[in-house]
Amino acid sequence: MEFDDRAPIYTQIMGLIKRRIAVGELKVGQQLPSVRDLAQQVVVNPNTVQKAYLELEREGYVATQRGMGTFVSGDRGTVDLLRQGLARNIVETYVAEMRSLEYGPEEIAAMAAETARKEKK
Amino acid sequence: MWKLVRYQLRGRRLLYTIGLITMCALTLYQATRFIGMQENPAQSAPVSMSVPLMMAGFWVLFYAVMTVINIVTYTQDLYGDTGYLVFGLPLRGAEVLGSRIVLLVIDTIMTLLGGMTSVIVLACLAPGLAQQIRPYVGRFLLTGDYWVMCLGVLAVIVSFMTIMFFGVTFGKTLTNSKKHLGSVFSALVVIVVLWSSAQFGLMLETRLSVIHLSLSPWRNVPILGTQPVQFPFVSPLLFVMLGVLAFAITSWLMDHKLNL
Amino acid sequence: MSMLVQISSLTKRYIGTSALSDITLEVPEGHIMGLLGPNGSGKTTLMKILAGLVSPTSGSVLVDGMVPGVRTKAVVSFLPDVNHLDRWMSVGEAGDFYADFYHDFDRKRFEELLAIMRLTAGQKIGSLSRGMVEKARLSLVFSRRARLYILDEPFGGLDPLARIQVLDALVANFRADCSMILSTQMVADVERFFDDVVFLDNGCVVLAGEAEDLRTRRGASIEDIYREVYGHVEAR
Repeated sequence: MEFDDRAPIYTQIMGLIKRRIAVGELKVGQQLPSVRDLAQQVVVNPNTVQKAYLELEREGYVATQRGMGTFVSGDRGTVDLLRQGLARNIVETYVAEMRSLEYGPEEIAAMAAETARKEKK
Repeated sequence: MWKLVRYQLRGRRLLYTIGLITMCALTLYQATRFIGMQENPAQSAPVSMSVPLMMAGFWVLFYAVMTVINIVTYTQDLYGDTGYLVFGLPLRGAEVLGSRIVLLVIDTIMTLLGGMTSVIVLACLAPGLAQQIRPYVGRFLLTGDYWVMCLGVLAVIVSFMTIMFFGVTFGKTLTNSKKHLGSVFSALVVIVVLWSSAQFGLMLETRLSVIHLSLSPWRNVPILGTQPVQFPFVSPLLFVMLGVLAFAITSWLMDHKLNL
Repeated sequence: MSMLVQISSLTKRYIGTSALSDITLEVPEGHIMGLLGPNGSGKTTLMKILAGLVSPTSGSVLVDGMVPGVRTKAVVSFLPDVNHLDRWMSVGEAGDFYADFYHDFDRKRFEELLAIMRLTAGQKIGSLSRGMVEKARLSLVFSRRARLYILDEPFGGLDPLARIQVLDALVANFRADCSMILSTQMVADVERFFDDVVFLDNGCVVLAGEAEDLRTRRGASIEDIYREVYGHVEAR
């Protein structure tokens, strides 16, 4: 698993899990891999995975039941919100980079729509 | 500690086998030299006295080799990489040193018994020799004095070697150098210890000349010679005390001052 | 969280040279600490002191609440950076040796690790390549259910595939009731395993902290920080 070592790894793991929730790979109520399993999967320190899970719980995306594991919490609505939130981040990055190349809003939108239509095939 | 002794003995299996086979072969070879002379016992007698002495010499050589290997492997452990294995074990310094002392005792007993066996075998095969040896058997083997003397020899040798172990260990605690600078230093330490103990013994003797003591270790070490030796109790005692002191200090150094 | 290792003002001097100066650090239970620094910075000396193989000149060292000695050796599993096994020993015999002297040696795990590392019990240490000897020694060290694992350059002599095998074994071996201290030159490959990192230079601690914290505060990887810290040091 590719991680950027220049940023805290636990936030990247959180991002990974949020993405999985957003696209439906992890459904509401589904159990997350155990800390140890995920650590072995992505090859990081289990404590880092633990920290990611705790933060996710603090932010309300997951809940841990003692002795049973960590589960995705929320409902359809929260998942949609998450998806939107992630999308918005991507768009903001895209727009910022296009702006740095001195493209205007219309061109930015047009290019995005054109590319979206193309790739859908 | 005994677990360690077992492993060390197992490591020496090959050496012991080769050594003992060589000794047996030598004994038999010596014996064959005068099987032909059995018809004329009188002729064989003057030639043969040197033979058991030579056999004893071979046994001493065997012992020297085993003892040198003992201290050399200890030095290698101390200065080399295998030390991480031995000194990383959950054993006290006294146990690590003790295992080597046990090996030394085993070697000493093996040599003494082996030497006696060789001489007896030779005596059985060469009648002229048997006649020569018989008076010594009476004066030595069958008296308590001989066995006490063997015990004394054992004690002195073990003490001497313990002082050598001390020397090697002490040299290592002062420096973490991988070079054998420490060996040179430890040789110096041993010489100093032995010389000062001899001086100390001499001083005690002159101070306490009223009581007839013989304390200087070097002048009174009993040797397996052709003359009956008056067994001086005190001097091996001083040596043994030094050995015990060396053991205690070395164990302490191993536990508290080691720098691998 | 209890501290498995507590070092306070540790100094180690040899005649004419100082290996460690006034080192203070702690390793909590369940943490993996990276000990980083160039050759000669004191990493190996520090590890040997924790392993009970070198005696401190001054300062206090506690491993699991005890001063390094016979009792700590029974709970500390040390992997030196050189081959510490006898060449005439076979892999299996080395396992037997460990099992005989260390009560925490897990034979089953040893066999599993040997299988992963593709080693057989009958191979003599002297006949193995450098990388295979390394893997054998790692298998021995990891097969002990110790409280503290101290690994001195465990990745030296390993090809990239073997390195991954070892890292996998490291994660699989992880327990919350034990800690690990490891030193490595290959910071980039291993940095995501560190909970804490300590940078040593010339026997002193020049930087220490939690890995994730350092990443956040400096916006850099541990490897970047390494280059930053030692940038002024000429290649030794």
